[in-house]
Amino acid sequence: MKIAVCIKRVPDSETRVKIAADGKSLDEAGGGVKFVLNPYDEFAVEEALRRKEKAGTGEVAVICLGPAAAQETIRTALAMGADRGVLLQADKIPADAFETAKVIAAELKSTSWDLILFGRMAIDDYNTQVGSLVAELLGLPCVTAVSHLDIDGTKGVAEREIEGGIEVVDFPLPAVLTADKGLNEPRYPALKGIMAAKKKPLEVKPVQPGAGALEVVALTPPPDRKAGRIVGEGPGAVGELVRLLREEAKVL
Amino acid sequence: MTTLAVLEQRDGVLRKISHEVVTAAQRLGGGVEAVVCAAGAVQGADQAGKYGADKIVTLTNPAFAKYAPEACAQALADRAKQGGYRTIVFAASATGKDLAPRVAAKLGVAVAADITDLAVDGGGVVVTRPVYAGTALLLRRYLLAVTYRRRGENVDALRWLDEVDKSKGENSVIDDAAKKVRASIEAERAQLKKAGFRLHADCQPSVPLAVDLVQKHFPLDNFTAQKCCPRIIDIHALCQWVSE
Repeated sequence: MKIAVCIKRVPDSETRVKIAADGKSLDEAGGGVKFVLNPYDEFAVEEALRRKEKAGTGEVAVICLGPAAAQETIRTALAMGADRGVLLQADKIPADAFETAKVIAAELKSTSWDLILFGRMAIDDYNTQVGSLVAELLGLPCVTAVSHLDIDGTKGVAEREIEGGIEVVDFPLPAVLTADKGLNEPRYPALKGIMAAKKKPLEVKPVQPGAGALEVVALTPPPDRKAGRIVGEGPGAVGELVRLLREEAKVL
Repeated sequence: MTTLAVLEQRDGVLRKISHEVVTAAQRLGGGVEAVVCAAGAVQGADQAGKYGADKIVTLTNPAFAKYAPEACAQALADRAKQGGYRTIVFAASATGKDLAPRVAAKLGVAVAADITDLAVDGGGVVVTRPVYAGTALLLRRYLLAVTYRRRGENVDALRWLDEVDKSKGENSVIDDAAKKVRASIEAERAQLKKAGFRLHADCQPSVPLAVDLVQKHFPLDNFTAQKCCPRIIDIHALCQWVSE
């Protein structure tokens, strides 16, 4: 099985991000921001490795659009067990996911893959769309937010969580899938894997994504959380609490 | 300009989130057309009017009884191409998040996902969306305000282009680019016709493909190419010309 996994380098969600002086981007240098492999992409990498291990043969290639520093992110996936990496190197990732998708689709086009995996979304910009866009550009079937997967030969059955239920989708291979939480439990890279990853091939290809149709106007911190309020005590306060929840908070 | 609001149904009943979609769409001004893909009549679809939809359209097909992503995306993209919509609003639900990029790819427009606020500003739409695990808010301008004009089946594509050209308020750079590309297509088409080629019957215009083609042949930046492509979309016909 020939599997491509498309990954992204994202700021660790534990880090407090700082906004750069231009007020439109992230302060990467000064903020002491730690970058990690996007957690949803870890599910995708893990799934690819399991599929390859099950088939007994094949290749898992990791593809990443990002700055030179993203090589480290690719090495993480290689340490987990992927065979080779491709860095589509660009200093800036376009705000418009369509441009990202075009660059990735162009890279994927050159090889015939059995499976192309993505994380459901990146935890920095939550775009939730690159996988689907790439599938459209390549003319492949696509199942998003896959939380369970069965593949038999050239046919697959995937489950995706929807509001109040699970959708079961069958699809032919080759296909593009985006991995959701619950698909598997990603492995930690073992020391042996980390050492081996240093020797695995990592190709760097400079790319120039287009500017796209989205412009970032501003990046601002969210408004401060309002202080809590004590409505009252005892059963007597229930009526007032329900009224406030209904009329003010509008959650009922 | 009208906004297209994509409603959701499950088992023939309109989902409540549809009301929010209509309300959000209404905030862009200029009227709301609501559309829902279903196998038949949708119970509760008439309620969309209460929330601000001026018109409710049900696209019916037996395949829409369950969520059929590919068929739905195609039906919505076709609908979007026919209308004069500036923006399409989806719910940020499991279905909406799956559907929006598929439709956008077919139309060659951008998606702003998971928005918490939206407003019209100048020629574009400005949206607010949380990023970096909710530790920052990103304001993004949705610049691609592509208008898809109605195009009758037998209307000559070039006449359609002329109509678009006359529309007001277009950027002159894009006007010029579109004109140049058009002139070149017309010249090439005349040559092809002379050489005994005819237009392939299955020719389907596609914005993403047109953008690629235009950029291959003309030194245009991506933005200009994307902006002018809907106006010269029959450039696609160029690669579909076949010999008799």
